[in-house]
Amino acid sequence: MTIPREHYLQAVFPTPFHPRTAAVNTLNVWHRWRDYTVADAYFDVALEYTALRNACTVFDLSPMTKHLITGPDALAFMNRLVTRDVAKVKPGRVGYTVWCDDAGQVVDDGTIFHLRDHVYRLCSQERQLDWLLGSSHGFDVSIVEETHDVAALALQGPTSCALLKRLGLAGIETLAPFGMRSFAFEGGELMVSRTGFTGDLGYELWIDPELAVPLWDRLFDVARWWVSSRWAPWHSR
Amino acid sequence: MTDPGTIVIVGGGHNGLVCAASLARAGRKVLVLEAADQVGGAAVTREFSPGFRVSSGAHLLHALDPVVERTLKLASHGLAFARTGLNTVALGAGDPLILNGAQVLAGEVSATDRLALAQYVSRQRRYAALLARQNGRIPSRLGAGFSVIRLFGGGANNRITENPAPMPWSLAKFAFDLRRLGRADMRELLRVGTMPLYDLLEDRFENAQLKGALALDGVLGARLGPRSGQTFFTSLQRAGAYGLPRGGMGTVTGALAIAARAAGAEIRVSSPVASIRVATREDGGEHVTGVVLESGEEIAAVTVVSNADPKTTFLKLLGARHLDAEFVRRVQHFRTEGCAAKLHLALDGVPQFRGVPSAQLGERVIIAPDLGYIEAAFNPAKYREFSPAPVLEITVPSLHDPGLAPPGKQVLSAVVQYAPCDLAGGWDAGRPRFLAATLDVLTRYAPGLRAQILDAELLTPVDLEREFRITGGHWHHGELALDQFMMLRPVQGAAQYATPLEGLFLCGAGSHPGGGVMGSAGRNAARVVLAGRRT
Repeated sequence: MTIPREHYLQAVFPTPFHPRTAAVNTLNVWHRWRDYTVADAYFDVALEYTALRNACTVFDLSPMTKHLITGPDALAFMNRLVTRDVAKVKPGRVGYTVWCDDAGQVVDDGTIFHLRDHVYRLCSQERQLDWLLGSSHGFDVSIVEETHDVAALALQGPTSCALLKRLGLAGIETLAPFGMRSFAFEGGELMVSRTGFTGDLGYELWIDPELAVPLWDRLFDVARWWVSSRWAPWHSR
Repeated sequence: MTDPGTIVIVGGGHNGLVCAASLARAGRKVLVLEAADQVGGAAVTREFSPGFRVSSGAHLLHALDPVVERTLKLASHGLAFARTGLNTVALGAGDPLILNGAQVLAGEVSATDRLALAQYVSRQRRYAALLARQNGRIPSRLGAGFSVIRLFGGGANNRITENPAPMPWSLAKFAFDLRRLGRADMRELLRVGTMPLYDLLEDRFENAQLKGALALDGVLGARLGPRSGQTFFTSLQRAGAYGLPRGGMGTVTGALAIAARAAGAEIRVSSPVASIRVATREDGGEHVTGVVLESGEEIAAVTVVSNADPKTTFLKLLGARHLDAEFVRRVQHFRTEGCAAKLHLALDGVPQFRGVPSAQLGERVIIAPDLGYIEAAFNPAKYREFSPAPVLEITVPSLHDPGLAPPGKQVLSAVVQYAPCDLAGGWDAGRPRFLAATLDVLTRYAPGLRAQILDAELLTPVDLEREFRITGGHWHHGELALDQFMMLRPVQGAAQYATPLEGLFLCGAGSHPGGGVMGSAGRNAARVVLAGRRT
């Protein structure tokens, strides 16, 4: 990857969903999440939370740090890195885990997406590339940060499955918690995982940034009968 | 089939042999596995040209642990000296300066300088003695047991990787030794301990050659110049008298091997170890189960002691995956870049250094004519280039030990600096150019030398790395500096000879108190093994 010479002129970017989130952000309140700006709330925190618990909402999680770990030693590396037995996270499954320093203290927590054999995506709160590379000595793995290459949208709430079915994701109701499945979407691939942090029914949608806006539009097209229900969790914790 | 109770020692260098002998004397079964076809590691004598033999690594003995020498009865096992107490002959623009400790045997040195030298050397010896007292002690573990932080209620960040062996009190003993120096010496040590020799010597001496000679002690073997910090500290490692073992350094390790075998240890040469074998217990913990040789042969052992350097031991033989990430990072950051080359010349006669009386030609001849010269020689090394005009420490051991060369011929052995192991462009291209630069400097002081050369061998750090299997070709297995010293050597978590992996120990120069053919590390490691971490 070549870094443009003017990289310093802009340090914080709009997310791939920004054209849409900006259009509905009636409060015009934003905050910084790593390299991106995200909305604090759109029009009313209490209503948004109510929608989350009673219907479903979207949440732009594109800024979440994502790493792609590939290579013959990917599994051995993951097992060295985290506290759980990654061999039990089969391809097509997601595992929640933590990783620790030498003293056994938590460095960060996150989710492991076993995309296919020898290919894992590790999502984390903090940037972990340094720790991952430092932990990889002696392993035949490639580790790249792919935060900017994958747009992600959480769709959470009790009606989220129904909405995805309306979107045309056949069989989505059979996707078990911590499972993931890919669907064709407008010439690209939409990966859906049954994960999220509401503790309720919910999904995370992973897609090429180019297809982020089309995905948003399709979701809101099929959800037009919905009460406006965009959600940002920042004030609802 | 080896008895799994056997302690396997990876590498038969001097520390591995000392460790083997110590363990065997304590009644343990010991098997030493040496990669080369003779024991000795970097303390060996070998033929570099038909009929010419030389100490191909270390070439002067000045720090051998007296406890090792005595308890292993090295004298009765063949250790004899061709010469002890070598003078230092410092070449320069004018007449050479001949020194022996605080004595000036020849050269134009003012009364002021003579007095300053006497004070300097006597103080240096007291400090060196203080350090030597630490050599036989197992370094303390910081953060476990005795800790200032814990005294004040801290230390909640208790490292679970600390091994549970009893706490060595060596840090407290070191503090007590420091205090016993007396107020003036202690205060001065605190002041000069981290000082660059350049400033210290400029403060105290007038004579340029004298300053150059004293500065060389602080930079030999190190990637440091006189203006580098802590070179006074590094100079303390060379405060001993220089000796030439009869038959070269191989005699020292030969005697150690005889002592080890006499105590019951088995030594196998030409048996390079490829890896250290590890098994996982039910609770997930790992422990050593033996070693695998490059031949494929597997040798079972619950205790493996590695005389290899820390990077080789942890990253190559064991593998980083068996170690915690932060520990691995510390090992990777252990500075191992060798900067000293070794020159061997087969000569058709005694080399004649200009102005040096013939009786002094076999002494320790140095080319470090002044501080600026040494610093200028060091400058290119910072940028991965060799010195166009290097610094040299020269011996002609065959003058005292005629058996090293055919009748009438001589062997010259020299440490040549600076030769950074990571030379830009690589040493294959650099070697002949550095040899030419080295011979240019030598012939400046010994004009007839070139005509006397029958054969020449220059071992750059990459050659030393290949020959002795030492990462970076560093003769201490890693820079012996304050940040890699005592409880920080090689790294926190492995500084007490035990390692984070159950059953694996270190005994080489990468551990306290370092290399220089002392044998203390091997002796200390044996004590730790015998003290019995559950193995």
